[in-house]
Amino acid sequence: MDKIIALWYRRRSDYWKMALRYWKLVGKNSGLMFSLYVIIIVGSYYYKQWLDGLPDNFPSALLITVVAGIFVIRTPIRTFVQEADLVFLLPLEPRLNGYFRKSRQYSFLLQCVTLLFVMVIFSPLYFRTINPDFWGFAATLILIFGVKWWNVDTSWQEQFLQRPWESKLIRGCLSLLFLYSLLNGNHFIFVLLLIAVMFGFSFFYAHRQAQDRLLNWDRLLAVEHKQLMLLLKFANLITDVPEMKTRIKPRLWLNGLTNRFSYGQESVFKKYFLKTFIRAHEYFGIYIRLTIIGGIIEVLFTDGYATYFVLIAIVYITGLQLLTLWHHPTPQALTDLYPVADVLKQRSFVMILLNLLMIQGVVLGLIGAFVIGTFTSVILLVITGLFIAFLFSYGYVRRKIKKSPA
Amino acid sequence: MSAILDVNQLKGGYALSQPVLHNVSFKIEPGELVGLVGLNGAGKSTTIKHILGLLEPFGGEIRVSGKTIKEDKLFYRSQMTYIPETPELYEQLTLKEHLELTAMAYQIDQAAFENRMDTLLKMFRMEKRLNWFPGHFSKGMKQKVMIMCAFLVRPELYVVDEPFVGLDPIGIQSFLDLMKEMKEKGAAILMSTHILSTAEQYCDRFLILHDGRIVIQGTLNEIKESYGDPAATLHDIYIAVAKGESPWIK
Repeated sequence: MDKIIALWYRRRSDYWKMALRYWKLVGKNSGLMFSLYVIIIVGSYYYKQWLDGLPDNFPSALLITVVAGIFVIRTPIRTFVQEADLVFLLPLEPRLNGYFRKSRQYSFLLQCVTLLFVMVIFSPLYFRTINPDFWGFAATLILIFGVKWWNVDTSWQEQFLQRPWESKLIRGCLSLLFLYSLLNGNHFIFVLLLIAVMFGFSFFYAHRQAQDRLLNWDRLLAVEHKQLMLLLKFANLITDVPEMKTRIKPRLWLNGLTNRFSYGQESVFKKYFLKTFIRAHEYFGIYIRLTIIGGIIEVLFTDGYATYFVLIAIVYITGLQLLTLWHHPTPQALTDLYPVADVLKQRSFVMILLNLLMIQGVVLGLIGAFVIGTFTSVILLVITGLFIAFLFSYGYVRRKIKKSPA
Repeated sequence: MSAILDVNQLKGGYALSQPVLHNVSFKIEPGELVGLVGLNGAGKSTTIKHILGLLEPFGGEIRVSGKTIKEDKLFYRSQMTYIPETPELYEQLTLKEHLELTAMAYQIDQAAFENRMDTLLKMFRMEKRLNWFPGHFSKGMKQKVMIMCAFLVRPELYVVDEPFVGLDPIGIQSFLDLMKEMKEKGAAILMSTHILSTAEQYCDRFLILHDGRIVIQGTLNEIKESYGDPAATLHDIYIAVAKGESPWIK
């Protein structure tokens, strides 16, 4: 086999090995998997309810076009290029065609899997409102894969262009038009016409423009880096990813919160944990996002015990995410040498966590109660929120961190 | 007078099967600055890690102000501060917060903390960086933060690992002045370094470490005498030890 192709295969397998290790960790995270199951089960229940009550003139084709369109148009090419390639592969640039062809095939296959997934989710809607025939769906799917390939090919040509935005815009518009005509079902001639236009665009514009242009390595590296980061960022929520350089956001407007702790040894780790929560590694972002998501779900589903369930689930998931704050890396030369008892550190962590979860519990409780609109629900929900925060911090976390000193 | 640091027959390293240090013994009295010199891999950092209590000795013991870490961990830790070779800071904390956290952890009272902080900031020309995050600091500035944290506490024992690399001349001078001042106040300092000319000038005694053993220790004059050449510099002696040409390892 060509050595360059062999290099591609090795890089792909290296990547998969690394990715698999992280996915295994994700799979082992019981809290996350549990929430995932719950979302799937609860989601499918409401999905079915929603379908049953759907009016006949619902714009399904438009909805599917927009959502599937995002996945069709977003076409990053996974090249597995590395920073050092600028030194070592640059001289081989004219001979890298095979390498990048492999990359395009790989990106196409992987993105088709995602598309398949999206379309399977939409299939009940499709069968119910567009076309009950399975073969119609299958043919649609194959044509969507076709337009995906066109997107992959064109997106690759864009790598060479100086102003890729023009091409991106045309590609996006054509793809959306194509999807909509396809899903609407009665514009068959128009679909054919669009296919012709796409081919024309490829041959007479994209390929021609890209000819004789040099590869834009910086852009390739940026795209590759962005995709790698998607996985690492996700994995980083669950475990420590060494490649993730910690970025901080000062959020100075929240300084007032930490300045309230008195000066003294008692407050060392309270200050440290709260400041770390506010500034480092997305802890604060996760906390706010989960709270907002919880609030939205509470507003959407008001029947029965859904609010209680959402409240408990969100506080629990937030608690699990914030648990990683305990393991946030600290400078050995400072923290590890402080003459501060381990117990004090543990106590401070549990206290900070408890307060954060209590605030979230109360906020979600009040939102839920406001939506339900009875006075008893205010009391019951707020108590539930406080109780779950307390249970999680003292019942679970306190014992857990004693076993794993940071 | 009892020694602040007493290392007695220390045997240690990272794996029990491969000890790095063999029967290392030395003492540092109050008011002494002792230089720890040796090639890369001689065992300097391992010795320091044992003293800091980050590694457990395989044999022998280390006493700081009379106590081992096992006897009283918090007391042991409260007796010393450490300046590492590679500065390590909290990415998410400002310079001021580093100093404040350190002062709080070592139970320095608030007035003393603010007083000392102002002096240190002026010495190291860092007054304007008080609310900066380490992400915007150069290596030398980070090193200055570590030095300020260590001197803020005024402990009995300073453990310093190669402090000069990356420091600007003002930083080096301020650091040397501070060491002198603390020494005069009765602190003990153990400093590992490769900058022998500076060490010759400032250290009271030396420990020359080679392959995990102390080949010779004493004042510069004692070492020269033992080496047999009163005109030799620490540099000459050090090279001779490293090449295995000194009388002590033959």
